[in-house]
Amino acid sequence: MARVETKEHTWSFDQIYDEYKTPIYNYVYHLVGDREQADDLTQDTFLKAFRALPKMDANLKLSAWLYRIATNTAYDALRRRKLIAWMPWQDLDHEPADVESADPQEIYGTTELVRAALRRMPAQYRAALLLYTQEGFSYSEIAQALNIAESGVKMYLSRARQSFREHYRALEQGGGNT
Amino acid sequence: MSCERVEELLSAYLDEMLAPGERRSVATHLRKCQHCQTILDDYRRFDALLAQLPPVSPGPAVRQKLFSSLAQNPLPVTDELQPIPADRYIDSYSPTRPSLPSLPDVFSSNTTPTRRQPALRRPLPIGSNDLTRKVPVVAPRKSSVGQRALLGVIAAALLLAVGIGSIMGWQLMSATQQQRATGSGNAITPPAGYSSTTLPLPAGNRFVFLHAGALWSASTDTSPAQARLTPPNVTVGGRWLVSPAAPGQAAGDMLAYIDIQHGYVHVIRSDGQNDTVVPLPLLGSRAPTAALWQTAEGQAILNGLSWSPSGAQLAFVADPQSSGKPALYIYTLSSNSVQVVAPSQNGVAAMPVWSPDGIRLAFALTEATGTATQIIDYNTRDKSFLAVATINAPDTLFSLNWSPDVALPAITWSTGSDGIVHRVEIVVIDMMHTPRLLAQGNFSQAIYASEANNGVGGWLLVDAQSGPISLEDVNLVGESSILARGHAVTLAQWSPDADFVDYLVTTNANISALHLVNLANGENRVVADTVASTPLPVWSTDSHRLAYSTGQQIYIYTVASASTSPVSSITATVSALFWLLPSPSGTSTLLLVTSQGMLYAASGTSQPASKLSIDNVQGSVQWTQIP
Repeated sequence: MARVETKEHTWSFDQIYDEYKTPIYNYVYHLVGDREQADDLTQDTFLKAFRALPKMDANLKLSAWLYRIATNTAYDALRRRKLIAWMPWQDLDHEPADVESADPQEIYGTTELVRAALRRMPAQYRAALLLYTQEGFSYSEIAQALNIAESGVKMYLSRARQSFREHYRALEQGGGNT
Repeated sequence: MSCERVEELLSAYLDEMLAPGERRSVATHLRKCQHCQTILDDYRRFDALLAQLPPVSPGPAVRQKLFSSLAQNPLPVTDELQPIPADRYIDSYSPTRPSLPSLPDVFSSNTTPTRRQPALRRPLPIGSNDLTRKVPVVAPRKSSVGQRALLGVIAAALLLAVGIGSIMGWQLMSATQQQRATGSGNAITPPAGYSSTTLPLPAGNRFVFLHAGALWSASTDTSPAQARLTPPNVTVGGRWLVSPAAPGQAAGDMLAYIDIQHGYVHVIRSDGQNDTVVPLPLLGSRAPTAALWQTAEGQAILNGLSWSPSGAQLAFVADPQSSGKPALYIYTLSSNSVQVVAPSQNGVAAMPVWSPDGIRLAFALTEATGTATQIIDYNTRDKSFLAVATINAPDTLFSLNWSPDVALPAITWSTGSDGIVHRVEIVVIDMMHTPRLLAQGNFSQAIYASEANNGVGGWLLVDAQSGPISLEDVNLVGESSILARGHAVTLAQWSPDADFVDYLVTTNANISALHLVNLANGENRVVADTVASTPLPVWSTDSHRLAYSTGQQIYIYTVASASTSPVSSITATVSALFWLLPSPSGTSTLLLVTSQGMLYAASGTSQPASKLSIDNVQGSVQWTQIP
C-alpha cells in the first residue's frame, strides 16, 4: 500500500481512511441528506484524494484538503441532481426523505428536525454551518474548504444561521411547506 | 444601529469576529432589543443542536468498495510521482470570485516543493489566479476576402486534422463532398455504377476517402488498389469516421458514416463487410432532403459522430421525433442498441466528445432560443449530467476536447464568433465550479492537441492581428510559451506527436516562409522561405518528416538531420499531400494528389514519382486496418 508523507505524519491510505472516514462521511451525509449517496460520495472523495495525494506537496494540510474535496464532490452531486431535475424524464434517485408531513413533531425528534432544516438550506450555507458547528473549523479553514474569501465566510455563516433558523422554526411549528 | 443591521452582524457577534467598535454597538442594541436578543439565543441554541447531532459513520461496504476500486486501478508507485505546489489544486479562475491570498498558508506552510520537480507528466491545474494569463484584447482586424477565405480554409483543414489520429492528409476543397453529393436540388441521388465484387478486402493497412457519395478503400501495395466500401444504395455525407486504433494497431477497423439519402447512421467493417444500419431515423418522419441537411440542425447531425475510445460505442446526434431539436444518442455495436443521452426537450445537442477513458461524454446543449449553450459532462456509469459551463451569444462553442489525464477528467474548449476564437478555457470535473481561463484574445486558430506538452495537453494559438505575440503554446496548466513574435502567421499546426509546431509566415500572396519550432528546446528554424499554402505542409505519421511545396517542387524535410530533399516532379498540379503509414523497415512514402484526384507515389529523387491506379482521391483521407 502506498504511503504518503505530510508535514503531520507519514500516512498509509488505510490510516487516512480510518482517521477521516467518519467526519467526512458525516459531513457529506449532512450535505446531501441521503445515506446511499453519502456512501458513494465518501468513496469518491477518498478515491480522488488517494489519486492526487502522492502528487501533493509534503506540507499539505490533509484535513482541510479532504474537506475541500468532499465539499466539491458533494456540490457536484447536488448540481447533477438539479440538472437531472431539469431533465424531466429522469427519476431522482435517492431523494431525501419527504419532510413535508402534516405533523412533523410527531414524526421527528429534534435530531430529525435539525436534519430536515439542514436539507432545506442552500447547499453552500449548509456546508459553512456544518463545518463551523460540527467540524469546529475556523473561518480561515471554512474559506479554504468552500473556496471563498475569508471575508465571505462571515456572510455565509450569517445567511446560514438565518436560513437554518427560518426552516427549523417552520418545521417546529408544523409549517413544513416553506 | 437598526435591528436590520444588527441581525446581519449577530452571527459574527456570536463568533466574536466583529471589530471592537461594531461589537460594542451590537451589545448596546441587544440590551434594549428583545427581538434581536431572541435571534441571538436561537443561534446559540441551534449551534448547540448542530454540534450535538449524532455522527453517522459509513458501513464496511464503503471501505471494501473503495479499496477494491484502488486495487483494480492501482496508483502509480509514489517514488515516480512528482510533487506539485499545493496551490495548483486550489480552485479556478473566476472573474467574480475574490482571490484567495491565504491559500498557500492553509495548504502548505512552505510553497517550495520538498521533493523533486515534475519531470515529465504534470498534473492538471485546479487553478490559481497567478496562473491565469490574459492576452491583450484588440479589435479584430478587417481582413480581405482572400484572407478570410484562407482562414476559413485553414480552419476547415484543421478541423479535419485535429483529433483524428489516423488522418493522413487532406485536400482543401471549396465545395464539400456533401455538397457534391447533394447537388443543388433537394433530391439526393444515390451513387450508381460501382461494383463491390472485390469485397471483402484483404488484411492490411488501407486508406479511405469519400468520392461521389461513396467511401472508397485504397492501397498502394495490396490488391485491389481501389474498391468501394459502402453499398450502392446509400449516399455517404457529412463527417465519416474511422474507429480509434486498438492498442498496438496502426489504425481502426470500423467506419461510421451517415447515409444522407435515407437519413441513417451506418457502421461498416474496414474490409467492406457487415454494413449495419443504426436503428434510429436521424430526421424522424421527415424526408432527408439536401436543403434539410444544410440547416443548422442538419449540420449538427452530420457533424455529430463520435467513436468511443474502445470503438465499442458510437455517439451520434439525431432528431427521430422530427422536433427540429436534435438529441444525443449512444449506439452500442455489440448489442445493436441505441440509448438516448439527452432528449430534445432540453435543447439542441451537438459536438459529442468521449473522454479518454470512455466513461464520460462531453457535449454542447443549446437552448431553444439559441442564446446560450451549456457544456455538459455526461457520466455513462451513473448516467448523471453536469453542466460545466455556459457560453452566451454572440460567442459560440468552436471546439470541445478532453484532457488526456483520466485521473482528473477535465474538459477544455474554445469559444468565439465570426471565425475568431476569443477564449480558451478548462474545467476539471468534480474539482472546479467555474471554468478557468487559459487564454483570451482574438485568435485566428486555436488548435488543441492532447499529446502536447509531454502529455499534459495544450493549445496552439495564432493571433489574428499579428500582434506582438503571433503564436503561442498554452498548456492545460495555464503556462504559455511564446513561439513567434510579430509575424503574420497564417497557419500553424502540431506535428502528430505534438513535439514540434510548424507555421507559415506569409510574405506575399500564396508564398510563405515555413518555420519549425522544436518544443523541447524552443529552437525555431526556417525550413524554407518560399512555401506555398496549397498544398499545405504535411507531417509524416511518425513526425520524422515534413513535406511541403514551393508551388513548383515538392520537398521533404527530415527533422533529425535538418536536411531537405526534393521529390520527383510531376507535370500535374499537386493539390494535396499525404503520407503512407511507415513500412516495417521504417521508410515513409509520400503520396501526391493532383487537382484531378490522381495519385502519385514519391519515394525520392532518384526515381520518378509513379502514377498509381487510384483516382478520385479528394477530401479527407483516413487510414484503416483490416485485421
